[in-house]
Amino acid sequence: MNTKLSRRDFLSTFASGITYMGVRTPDWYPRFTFFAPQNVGPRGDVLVCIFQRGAMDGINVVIPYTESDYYKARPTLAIPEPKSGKDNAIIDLDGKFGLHPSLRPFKEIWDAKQLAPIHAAGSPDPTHSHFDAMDYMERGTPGEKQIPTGWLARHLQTVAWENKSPFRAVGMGTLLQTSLRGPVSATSLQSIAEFHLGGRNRSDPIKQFQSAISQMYSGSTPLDQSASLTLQATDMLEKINVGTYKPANSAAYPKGNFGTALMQVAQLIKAEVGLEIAAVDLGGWDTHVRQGALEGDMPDLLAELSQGLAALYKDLGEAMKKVTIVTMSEFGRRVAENGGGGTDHGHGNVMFVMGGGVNGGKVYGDWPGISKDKLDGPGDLAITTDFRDVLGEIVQKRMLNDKLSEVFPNYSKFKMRDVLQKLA
Amino acid sequence: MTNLTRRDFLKLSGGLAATAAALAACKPLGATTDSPLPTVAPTAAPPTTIPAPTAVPINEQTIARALRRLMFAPKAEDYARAKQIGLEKFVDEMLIQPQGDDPDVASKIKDLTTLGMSPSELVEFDQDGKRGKPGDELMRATALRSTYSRYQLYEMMVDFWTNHFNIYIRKNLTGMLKTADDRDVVRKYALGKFYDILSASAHSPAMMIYLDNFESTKNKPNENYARELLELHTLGVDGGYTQQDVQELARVLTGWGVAGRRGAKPGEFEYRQNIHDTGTKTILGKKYENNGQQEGELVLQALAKHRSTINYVSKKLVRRFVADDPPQALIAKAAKTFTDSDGDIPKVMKTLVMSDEFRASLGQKFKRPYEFIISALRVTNAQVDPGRALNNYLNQMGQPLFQWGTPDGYPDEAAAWATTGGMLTRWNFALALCNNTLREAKVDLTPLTKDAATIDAAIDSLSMAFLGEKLPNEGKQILTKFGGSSNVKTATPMLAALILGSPYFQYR
Repeated sequence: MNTKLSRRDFLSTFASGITYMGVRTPDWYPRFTFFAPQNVGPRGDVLVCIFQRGAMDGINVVIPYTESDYYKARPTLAIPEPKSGKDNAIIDLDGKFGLHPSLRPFKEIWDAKQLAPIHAAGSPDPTHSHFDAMDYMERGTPGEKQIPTGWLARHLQTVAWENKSPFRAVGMGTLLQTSLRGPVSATSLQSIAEFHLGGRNRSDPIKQFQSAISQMYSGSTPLDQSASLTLQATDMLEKINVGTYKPANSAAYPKGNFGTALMQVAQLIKAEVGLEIAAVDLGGWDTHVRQGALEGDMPDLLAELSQGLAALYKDLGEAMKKVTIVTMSEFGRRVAENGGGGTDHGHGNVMFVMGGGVNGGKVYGDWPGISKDKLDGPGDLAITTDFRDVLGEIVQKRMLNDKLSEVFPNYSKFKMRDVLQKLA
Repeated sequence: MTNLTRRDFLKLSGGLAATAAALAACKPLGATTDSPLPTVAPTAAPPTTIPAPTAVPINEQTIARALRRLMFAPKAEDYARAKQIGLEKFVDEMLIQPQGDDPDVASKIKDLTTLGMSPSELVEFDQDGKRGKPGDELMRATALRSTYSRYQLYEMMVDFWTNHFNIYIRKNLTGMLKTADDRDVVRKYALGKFYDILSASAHSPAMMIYLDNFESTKNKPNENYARELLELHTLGVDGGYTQQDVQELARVLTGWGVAGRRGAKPGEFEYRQNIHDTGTKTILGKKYENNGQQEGELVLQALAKHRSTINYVSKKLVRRFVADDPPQALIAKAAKTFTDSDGDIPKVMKTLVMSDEFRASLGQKFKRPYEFIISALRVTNAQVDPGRALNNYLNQMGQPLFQWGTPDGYPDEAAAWATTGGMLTRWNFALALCNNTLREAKVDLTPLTKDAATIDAAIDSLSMAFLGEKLPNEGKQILTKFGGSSNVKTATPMLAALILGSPYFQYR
């Protein structure tokens, strides 16, 4: 399948009803569209924003294995050094840091220089509360509780183009992510296959029901907007035959909500329904007990994360040139493990950026070290990269929005690390 | 042609009345502004959802709306009794802690044998193929109680405390032990004193496991429960404690846990002195000398009457029963009652319900998915056999029972729930329920419209049954047009589904 098809190609192809370059179009391509293409020049990347809820233990993800303090602080959780060469050893990246072995699917993307970890990154606010920290990160406003909108919503509001698609911004899952809450409505979507009103083939009474419902929600309140968006989305998805989706390049998504969500993101990207942002969550990182070194809760999550993202990368193929994936978690975890084989709430963490526009194959960030005198607060990894530096660079270079002061209000000291190339 | 945009609709519709209706849209009942949901501005302070309190009178309409706020859904007899004895007396009756289940509910749950089991009996289900039983029975009992119990405000309070002391039942033994927590903590003290429910929760085996305190030892204290006890159960995140306080409290609570398999009573709360940190601790500036389990008991007593706790719990109650953005003046009134009554929850609730702010806010609190489903089941007099199918609808909307993973409980603001997926599921549920295609709930709607000679009369009857008042004109016109010339009996299911799917029914 040709994934290089631009939206304009796509529209003209279908207008004339012929196949494109001899490739038969998949069934799930939309037959026609409900939003007019805007004549505003090239748009930015599609952003896939992964939130790892519960606070991932970044120290055991991109591991500073040359620091003896790592092995001292983690008698049961430490991962063997790369030089042992075993399957259960750290996967070396640059002679200083290495990946947890459950992240093996990332290695290929690292080698292709499309993956970049940024270490000792995070939110500068010292809170150890999950809920405050998640809010601060998703709103892009550490320490500030008066701004109720999310950073992604503010990007959509301030970017130079309009896009009337109900799939412009999609939060995968049942509740809409805080990052997407704001004046530009976003769609929350659990399952493309089940997103329809009263059965897949609408009967006349259902059509009349829908018409009456749309009249009742025709006002301008946020609920009205959400309801209208719902109806538009069902109309559009009715035109997509979703039952036949097969990932390309034999990409295999992991079982479970996360893998399913990523596969649906791929589906929406390929169907060119106007997707600009997808928010996907992976929860369960709050590993206070029995975190597991090589087997257990956290290694399982890392496998799910890396298999899922690697499948998306593979499935999208050439289309990854205009897709950026970023991962984040509300804070990291304490450097020293606790008595229950787990770790308590910490501070600095690691973020990943993946995609065709990434200057990958390099670990970014100023590493502060994990010897006792270098730690922050109760024994946490210090933060040397504000998460807004990473997100701001993506917004500016890949999502073509210069209004960083509106996307991240009250922040002006952006330190761009050139993790990404500017989208031409 | 079903893909009408709003503009298309306006162009196409010939009838003046219909056009006017579409322009007016449907504001929720009681809304005095166009914007009952928080309007979101890029950099504004959180918006106020309700107007400044004006003297909204207590009349038949406000009584009906007050009942819709305080119950999953009132029935005809509730409206009648409240109008007869007045709102205040009706509220007094609803604020009495019930002694045992409503007899109607008791007969429906009598075969759910795990509900009465002790923690030791419950943990015996920790074997292949049996683990799910206590949780399944608890979910079933909870839905039956919410739907059928006459003690409706009590059930709403149970839901409030279930979230305040949230426990996720998919974390190993919590799936079994939550049954005891529901009975011995939440239901036992839902309309009691705050200290009692706080203390019961701190001695709940399910809580000790959910927040890992059972593995906290003097050599390696675990901060998880200590932190959430301060942040979520008592002081609130801005309540004035520090990371140091969290660590000191974790030391105080070392030894609080659950008896293991080889103990005399596995699964019961157990304090173990040998893993307790015997050093001196300082919490919120107060010293706690070595005193075993008693140290923790003293901290709980101090926390229950701490100024921050009183404000935090009062604010949460105001958010739950008044507005997403709680009016500061009402929080202060509630906090004063809390202080004066030594944390007497019914008295705090009475202060809320009888306030001007409460009456000014009626009809503007967006129902959470669970409230939507239960209220729809109640107003349609559904025969409910709750199980996986019903829970699956809740799951699609993001609120399956006892399955919020993090300890903060389900969100309590419209912005979290008024989503595209959520609205679609509400409409699909309304359609399935009224057309009788649900496996686990059956309805007979014919009695509701049997006396109606016309579509208009049928709309009024359904509206009275579902909302306790008639639809405003702009909404009624849309339904009248929808009903057209069909006969009442044929039209009833879809008219009912439309009212349940309308904006009016999404608010309480």
